[in-house]
Amino acid sequence: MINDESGQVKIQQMAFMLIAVTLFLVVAGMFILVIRFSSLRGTAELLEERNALLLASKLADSPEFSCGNAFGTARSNCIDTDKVMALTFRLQNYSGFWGVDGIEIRRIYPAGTGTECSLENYPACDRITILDSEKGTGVSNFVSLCRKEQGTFIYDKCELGRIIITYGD
Amino acid sequence: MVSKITKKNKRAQEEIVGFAVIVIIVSIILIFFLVFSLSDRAETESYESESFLQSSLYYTSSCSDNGELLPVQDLVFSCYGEEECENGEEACAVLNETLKGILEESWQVGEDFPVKGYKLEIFSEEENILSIREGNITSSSKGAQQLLPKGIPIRVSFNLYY
Repeated sequence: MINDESGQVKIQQMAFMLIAVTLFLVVAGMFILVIRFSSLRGTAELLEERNALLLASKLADSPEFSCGNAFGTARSNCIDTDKVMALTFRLQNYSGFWGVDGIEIRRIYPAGTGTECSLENYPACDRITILDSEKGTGVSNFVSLCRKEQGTFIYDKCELGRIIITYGD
Repeated sequence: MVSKITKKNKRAQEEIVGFAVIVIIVSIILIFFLVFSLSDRAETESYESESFLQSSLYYTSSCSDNGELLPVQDLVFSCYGEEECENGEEACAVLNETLKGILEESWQVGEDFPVKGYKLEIFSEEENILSIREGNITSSSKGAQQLLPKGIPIRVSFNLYY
């Protein structure tokens, strides 16, 4: 009778111990999972940001916009604004060509007043609208805005700007 | 009777020690895990910072040499060599002014903005050529580095703090 009781007590002790260890491991596991999932979310956000910026860069590096070898060596994220200004007169041939709703190029530095570029005021302007869109998701990335300038001789002039792409509704 | 109680106490003590060992082992694993996950997050690359840095280095500055306006990346080497522009201005002063202007127009920093601060540093192997800081330097940052393609290894690093 006494042996049975002590056996039961031992089984109880073992059960309590097992419950305590299991609970502890579950809490520790949950803690690890929470940290893992929070970093996964961060990675997903980073990938989303990268994809959006890559879309902007992909357009900036397309032959219609890119500097090519006109300013020395080939550069990434470099837009030839002389070429873009010429392109704005042939936009009817590019309907749906880029697969986005809006493309705008803005000069950031030197800062200006936000004047839209036309043949009359170029290059003393700050904004070239290639496709106008007021709706949709906008993504943008930094680019060099390069052109040929005429002083006593012709030289390259590059400024800092952003290419803004709008897509979807 | 006394020896039976002592035996029981001893066994209970052993079980507590076993439990404590498990707690310690799991805690050590957790600490290692935390250290690794936090060190991964401390500084990450940013594609936007990379594009910004690249575009800024191509910016044509007001400093001319042999009648040619220098891009920022060439101005960095003039500053490193303590040279002067044709108009007599120090290359380092023009570089500092140009980069400050670019940074101020490109990034809004402060408590009310997502970006709390930024830091741009230009350094060679032996010295720090230029350093520009604005806002708060927090523990969470994203940035980019670029090695300038010329003989002397000069590195430009740009970090945004969130």
